[in-house]
Formats: sequence, C-alpha cells, structure tokens
Amino acid sequence: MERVLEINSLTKKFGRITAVDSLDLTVEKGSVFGILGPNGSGKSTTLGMILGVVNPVSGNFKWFNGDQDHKVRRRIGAILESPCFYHYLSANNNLKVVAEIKKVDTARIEVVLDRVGLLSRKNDPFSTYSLGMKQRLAIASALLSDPEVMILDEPTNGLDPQGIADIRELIIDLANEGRTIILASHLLDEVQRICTDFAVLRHGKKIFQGKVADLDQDKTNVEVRSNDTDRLSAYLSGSPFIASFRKEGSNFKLVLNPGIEITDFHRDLIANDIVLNKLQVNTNTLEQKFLQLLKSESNA
Amino acid sequence: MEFLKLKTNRAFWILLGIYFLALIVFAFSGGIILKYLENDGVNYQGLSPVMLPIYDFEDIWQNLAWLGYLFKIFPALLIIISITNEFQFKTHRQNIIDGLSRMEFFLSKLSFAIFLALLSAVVITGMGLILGFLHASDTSGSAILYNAVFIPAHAYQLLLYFLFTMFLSLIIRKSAFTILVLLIYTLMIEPIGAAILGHYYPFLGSILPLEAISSVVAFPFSRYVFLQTPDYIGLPEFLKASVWGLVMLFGIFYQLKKRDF
Repeated sequence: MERVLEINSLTKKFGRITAVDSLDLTVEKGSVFGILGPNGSGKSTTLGMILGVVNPVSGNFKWFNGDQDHKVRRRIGAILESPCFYHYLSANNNLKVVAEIKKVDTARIEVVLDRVGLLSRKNDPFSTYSLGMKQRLAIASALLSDPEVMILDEPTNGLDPQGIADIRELIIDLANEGRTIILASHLLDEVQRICTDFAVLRHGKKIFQGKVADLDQDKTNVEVRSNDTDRLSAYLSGSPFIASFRKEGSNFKLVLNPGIEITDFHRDLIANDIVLNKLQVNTNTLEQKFLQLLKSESNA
Repeated sequence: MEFLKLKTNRAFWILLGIYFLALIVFAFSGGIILKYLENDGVNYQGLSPVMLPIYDFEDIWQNLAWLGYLFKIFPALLIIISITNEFQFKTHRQNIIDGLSRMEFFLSKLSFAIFLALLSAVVITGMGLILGFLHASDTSGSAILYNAVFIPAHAYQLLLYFLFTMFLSLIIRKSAFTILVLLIYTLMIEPIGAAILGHYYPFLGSILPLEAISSVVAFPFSRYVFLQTPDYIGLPEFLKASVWGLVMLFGIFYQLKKRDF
C-alpha cells in the first residue's frame, strides 16, 4: 500500500514533561485513521508537529513521497482543536485568505461553502456563527484545496447531537471519495463508527495499532452464569475449549480458544450436565480493547 | 494578503484615519501655531515666529518627516493589531497549517509594515508639495528636491520602529499588553533612560534603540533657535539605527523559528 504519512521516533518535550515519546506511525492511503488516547496523551501535539506548528525535539516525519517543505501542507486539509478564523471577517473573506495561502482559485469557495451548507451565510461575520457552523466552516476551509489528506482533531467536540451526526456523515462521505482521513478523538464509538484503522496513544507513546475490522471478528469473549457456580468453575478450569476465565460477581467472563465455536462449547457444557441461566457472546468493542490496553499498559 | 485580512477590520481603518488626519491637521496648522506663539508674546531674537520658514522647501521635508515620526504610535498600533490578532484568533497556527511557511508569514507582516511606511511617505510628500507651493518663497525644482532625502529617511525610520513593534508583539502576543509596553517604553522608559545615560555617557544614551532610530531625522524646529541643528542625515545616526534594525530582525527570526506556533 502507498503510504501517505510516515512518522519516525518523533519526540516533543514541554519542559520536563515528555508529551510525545519517540512515536512511530504510518498511515496508508485511503484509510480513515483514528488516533485514540485519553486527554493529554499527545494526540494534538503529534498533529501539531506533522503540520509544522510545533517544533519536534527529535525524530522526523514524511508526507507522501515528495518534497517536505511547507508547500506539502497545501495538499492537506487540517483543523486543529477549535476552528481558527478572523472573527470580524465573513466566511467568504476568511476563505479568501485560506485560498491565497493554498494558491487555490477563489471559485472553490462557493463549492466548499455549498458542500457544508453555509452558502446562505457566506457574508456574515465569523463571530455571529454557532459552534456547529464554525466547525463546518473549518471543514469547508480544509476542503478548499480538494486535499488528498484531511486531518481532523476532535471534530465533534462540543457539538449538539445533530451537529455531531452532520459532521460524521460528512467525514464518511469524504472517506468514500477516497480521501485519507486522520482523526484524533477520545470518543471511542466515534472512531469505531468512522475509522478503518486506529492507534492508541498513552503518555505520548503508541501502545497499539490495528484495524477496526479486526475487532469485530473477535467474537470469543463469552459471559456465562449458572445456578451451580462451583461446578461451572470446576468445569471451566479443566475445559480444553477455554483460553482463560475470570469470575465477576456471579458471572464468569471467559475467552474461548481460537477456532472454537460457541456451539461446541455449549454442547460440551450440556454433555457435562451443566445448565446455564445466562450465555452471552460479547463482540469486542473498541472501548473494551481500549480499557484493556490502558490497563495492561499501566500494569507493565 | 494582509489587506484581505484587515479590509473589514474597523479598528484598522480608524487608526489609519487618525494617523493621517493628525498629520494633516498638524501640518496645515503650523502657521496657526506660530501665530498663537506670536500672540503669546514669544519671539526669537526680535523675529516674529510667523516669519519662520517652516514651509520653505529647504525645511519642509525635515519638518514633516519629524512630525510624521512623532505620530508613529498610530501606525505602530496597526502593526500590533495585525500581529496580535493572529495570536488571539490562533490564525497564525491555521495559516501555517494551511501551508504558509513561517518565513512567508513574516514576509507578509513585513510587507505590511513596508506598505505603511511607504504610504506615510507618500502622504507626507503630497502634503509637502501642497504646503510648499502654498507658502514657500522658492518653488524651483532644485529647491523642492533639496533635502527631499528626508522622505525616504522617514519611511526607513518608520519601518525600523515597526520592526521594534513587531518584535514586541511577537514576544508578548497580547494586544493590550503589547500596546501598554510599547507606550511605556516609547514615552517613559527610553526617554528617561536616554536622559540619564546620556547625561553621563552621551554615546551610550544615543545608542538606545528608539533614540538611535529617531535620531535619523533630527528635531528640526530647534534650528530656528540655535541655528545648529543638523539639517542632513548623519552617517553615524543612520548606522546606529540600521544596526538596531538588524538586531530586531534577528530577534524576530529567532522568535518565529524557535517558538511553537
């Protein structure tokens, strides 16, 4: 696969705090890449560095395969944190400034404003916009150069449910057009809904990188409960089907060995004369994966 | 691009207006001020102030250039607004993210400063010509051009002051605070510092940044009293001011390069 972005041992320190700690990351063309992490895990700092606003202490990054000067950023549409515009300028005039920077024809302004549904408000000053409109204007601005890559940092932060839905729909549309999207978020279900790939950051380090699709295939997490807890417990400790298990209240949470179907497991239970009053197959959600990762990381 | 950013900014137009209005009002009222002085009983060695040739072409350029520099604080406020707005709206970051290099960001601000300095020079030239033709005794070509070097000197002097302002804005980043520091420094710290230092070590006093910059165009009106004010631009003054210009350029580059946006 063609690589859009390659980050090599990128590091940033603020005083004594290491915000990003020798981070490696690659983003492939056409993916929707989610960068997850709790607040303060270095997501925004990382994006700041690859966009030239934060100076790295060490390490490097490479956009596309070509030149690495500032002109490469004209091919990228990016919004970091809150939408940043001149408050006293209208949407139209704000985008003129961006068009000037990105060397884009001003005819594109109408196109992108229409796309985010702000065409009717294009002559109103930015300061009169609602948060949702500001965010949509930011996306319009990012779209101005018809970019191959879009970078969005917490794009739904602070929006109402309708605003969140609008922005997500827009992102999915953009991804379907074949654009590569890098999305930083601490909202796990957002990443699970939108992204194809994700990485998890913690204390500036990457602790996981994988595909969202792989999470859904992982259906080996099972929760069971029986009236005869002791017998079930004894069976679970000896069963060849079970990779591991753990008691949670009156429930047992267990992980099946690879290749074992839930039906095999159930049949074996009946053969051993164990009757359950609860059998639940859990799809591994990003949230579980995330918490599991953070937990294992803090134990390590 | 700076024009795109500022064209609907009300404060920008108001300040620009105040600056040129103040210039025009003061320049045109020179005669009135002299009359007032006369009525006050002021006279110099038996000469009435009204007789002073402030609008003669030999003197007018230096007089106006000095006057223009006196009101420098207004265009300097424009520079402050143009830079601190970026920090306030975080648009300096967005500009970089959108694909501007830090150098281009600086050049854009610098070209704005050069534009303001040139604009001021053009206005002063216009006023000089109008006032000169109205009042001057000698309107021959050579008289007009005599000492017209004060016009580019004025632009240069303003530009150096703008560099100082840009440097402050980039360090402080907050408009109100920058304005405060600039005013206090320009009107209090440096005049006092220059006076004290200058009293004991005249050379040290004269190389303080703003003192050096303002010495490019010497205070002209005292010549009518002492008859010894330089009516030319001294090379040492020019060099001192230029060195400060370079120092501030370096400071600005350092700020832009090292700090996170």
